[in-house]
Amino acid sequence: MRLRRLRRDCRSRIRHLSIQSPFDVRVFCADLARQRGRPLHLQPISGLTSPGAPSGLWLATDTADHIFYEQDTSPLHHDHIILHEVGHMLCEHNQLALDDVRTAFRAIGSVDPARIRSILPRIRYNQDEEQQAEMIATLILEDIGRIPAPSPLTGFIAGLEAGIGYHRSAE
Amino acid sequence: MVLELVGVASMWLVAFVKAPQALRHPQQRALWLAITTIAVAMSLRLEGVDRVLQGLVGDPHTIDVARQVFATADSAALLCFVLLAAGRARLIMPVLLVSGVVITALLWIDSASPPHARNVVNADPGPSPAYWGLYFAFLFVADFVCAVVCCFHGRQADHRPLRVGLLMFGTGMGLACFLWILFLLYLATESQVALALLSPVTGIEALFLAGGVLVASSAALFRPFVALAALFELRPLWRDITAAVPTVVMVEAHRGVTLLTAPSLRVYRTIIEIRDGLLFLRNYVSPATLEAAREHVVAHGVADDLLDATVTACWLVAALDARRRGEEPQPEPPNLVSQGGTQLDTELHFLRQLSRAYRSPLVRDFARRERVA
Repeated sequence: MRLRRLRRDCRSRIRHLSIQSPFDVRVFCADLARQRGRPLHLQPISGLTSPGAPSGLWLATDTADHIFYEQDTSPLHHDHIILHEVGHMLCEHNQLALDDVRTAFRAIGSVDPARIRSILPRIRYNQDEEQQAEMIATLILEDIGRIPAPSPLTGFIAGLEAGIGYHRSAE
Repeated sequence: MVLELVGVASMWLVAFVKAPQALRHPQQRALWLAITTIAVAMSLRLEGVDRVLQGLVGDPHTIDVARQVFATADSAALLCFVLLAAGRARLIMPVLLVSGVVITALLWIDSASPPHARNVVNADPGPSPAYWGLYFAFLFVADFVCAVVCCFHGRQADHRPLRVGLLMFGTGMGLACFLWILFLLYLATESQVALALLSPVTGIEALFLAGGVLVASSAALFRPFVALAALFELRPLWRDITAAVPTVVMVEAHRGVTLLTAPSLRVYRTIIEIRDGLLFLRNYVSPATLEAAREHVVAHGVADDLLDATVTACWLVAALDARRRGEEPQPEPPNLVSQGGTQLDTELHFLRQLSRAYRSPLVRDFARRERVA
């Protein structure tokens, strides 16, 4: 898929999302869960990334969504990994694989991290799907970076700040 | 004349560079519109432009009226900017209606005036005094309100670029008020001093207005250049990591002209791909190598704030070597959780430190020792 088309396609998929300032991925996921009408649980796992394995994972049970992410990396990278999985969710990728995993989850009856690792190889996305999810995560992060940090100013001066286009960096 | 030319050019520069932000952010549109219409009105006052347009249009009177309509419109845009800042968006429509009435009245007075070839202050005959009275009064009120608001409230800004920017813009508006007074003075007294001051005051006014907007929005305007500088610095680190772990590269994002069209996208991709690569490569670092890296860095007296980045650079070169040699991944990779930041700026700061350390003699020395060991 060409970059321009990929960006346009992914941009249209995230247009309806509200990105708060300051950004908090947990608040973002809670909003998304409300929109989807399904609980979304974020679960950090240490040592998820071994050669050949992904650094994040989205699993859907009959009642909830779970995103598992590698916790042994920087906070910004956590956010990216989680947003990548959100990208798969928004694009509804690989429904067949997910149905298979739903079955596995009913058999397991819990979300035990040790079991999660054992079913990792069953989640497979094709190259286009990975690029879509990756682009969605990148575009959301890019939008977050473009939003100025919230201003502590109020009244007239806050309005002048917004009107003249002052970009306040996070401190 | 040169000052006026430089001032008008700087206004066009600001109008051009602020256009993308104005398109994205509705709150910035009023000021951008004001800057652009001021630039148009000032350009129409330049002698060269006036001459060229006279050749094209054939009627200098039409060019004069167009200039004054643009100047009235820029005053309306300035009032909208102030109203939006005050949170009084509901008053924008009445202000636009009043501006429309003023423009209509000016056109009516102009047509009802005795025959005249030009609408400039030194024309004889010109339009009736009521024309100039209404025109300068409207412009003066709008510019004066904007000058007072920017200068009074600008002093309360907590960040220097915002404070300086607003004070400069307010000063520019104050100079615009002075300009209208000079025009009226010339009309009343035909003072040659007032006439001679019109061009330099216009130039200085334009420089203050453009400078104020540029200073206040410099952080947003220079972000692409900061992004390009960051890319340049991270490139060697990214190149070596992605050569060892090519699967982390989102190929499409590095093709084509994205370096120029979407520099921030390239920066994010570079950061994420370096991070993905580090997560992968840490599997090739043994606890003994990590400990040796820490000892090596501490022994060389590296400053505390560079410790994390330098230790990471040391184990990274060891991991890249191990991967090249085809070694098996380690069962217990090191934890990277304390490194980097929650914000893009802090993350970028850490990765730039890492990139610098990665190319340093200290890290090259560690790599040599590890190879020998």
